[in-house]
Amino acid sequence: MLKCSEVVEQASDFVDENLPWYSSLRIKMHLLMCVHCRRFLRHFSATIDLAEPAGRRQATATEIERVMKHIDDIDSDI
Amino acid sequence: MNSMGLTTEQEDDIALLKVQDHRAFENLVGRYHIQMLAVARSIIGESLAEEVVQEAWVSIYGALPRFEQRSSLKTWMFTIVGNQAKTRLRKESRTVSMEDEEQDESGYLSSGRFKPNGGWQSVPAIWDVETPDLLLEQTQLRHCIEHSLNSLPVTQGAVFTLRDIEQQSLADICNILGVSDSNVRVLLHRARLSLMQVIDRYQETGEC
Repeated sequence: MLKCSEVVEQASDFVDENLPWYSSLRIKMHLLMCVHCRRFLRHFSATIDLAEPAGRRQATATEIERVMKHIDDIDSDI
Repeated sequence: MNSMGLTTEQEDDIALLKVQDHRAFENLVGRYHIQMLAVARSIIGESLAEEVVQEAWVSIYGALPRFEQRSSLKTWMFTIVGNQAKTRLRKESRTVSMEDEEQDESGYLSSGRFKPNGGWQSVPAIWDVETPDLLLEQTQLRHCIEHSLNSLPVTQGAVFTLRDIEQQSLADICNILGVSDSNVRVLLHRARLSLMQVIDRYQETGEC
């Protein structure tokens, strides 16, 4: 029987479908019986889904300007 | 969508970029500069990252007319900045410590979280809100997540950015950062758990 600690250790590989089928099946069997691990994986998946919209950051106008100036300087040297 | 999975709008953007359209390039810089810095920082360290990224943008700008779309544009750009950071690292004969390796394991991986038989000692917190859409509506939580991403050890931050924000494959991440597959998986898992703990704490206390 798979332990809860092992579900946590393998959670990323499980959600990314990087586990062999029998390891994935063992987790699924465990989830049928363990409410805490079901909650853990639900939260874990929500965290990953949040990453893209919450983590994407736009450069500031100053940062963009610095890059464009660098390119313009090099262009004018050629 | 075309065979590369690009929308007509994205195809138009690439067409403009290939003729070095300044406005299109500015948008590209705005969209990817922070992520490029994360990649460079993880390879070369904080002090030279900005310089490496500036040079990478020049290379990208110069090479865009020859971009053949054999990979996605962002994979191509991340590969360029990764390669330039690695080249610079060799030139500088420096080593950047992988502090991620020595970092304490986060709460969900700590032995205190589980009983000796591997069952939960301290069960996962109950979240009042569980769906990503509703979680995102909470401005304070968004700030907490941003803060947490900035506080991750640099290699963890780069792996997380490339995988979960930019949707790069694990194989591409290994190539871009020059890190083994097993290492990438460990770093990604730690980063995700760190972020999840931030949300745990927020749900419990309403603070970061």
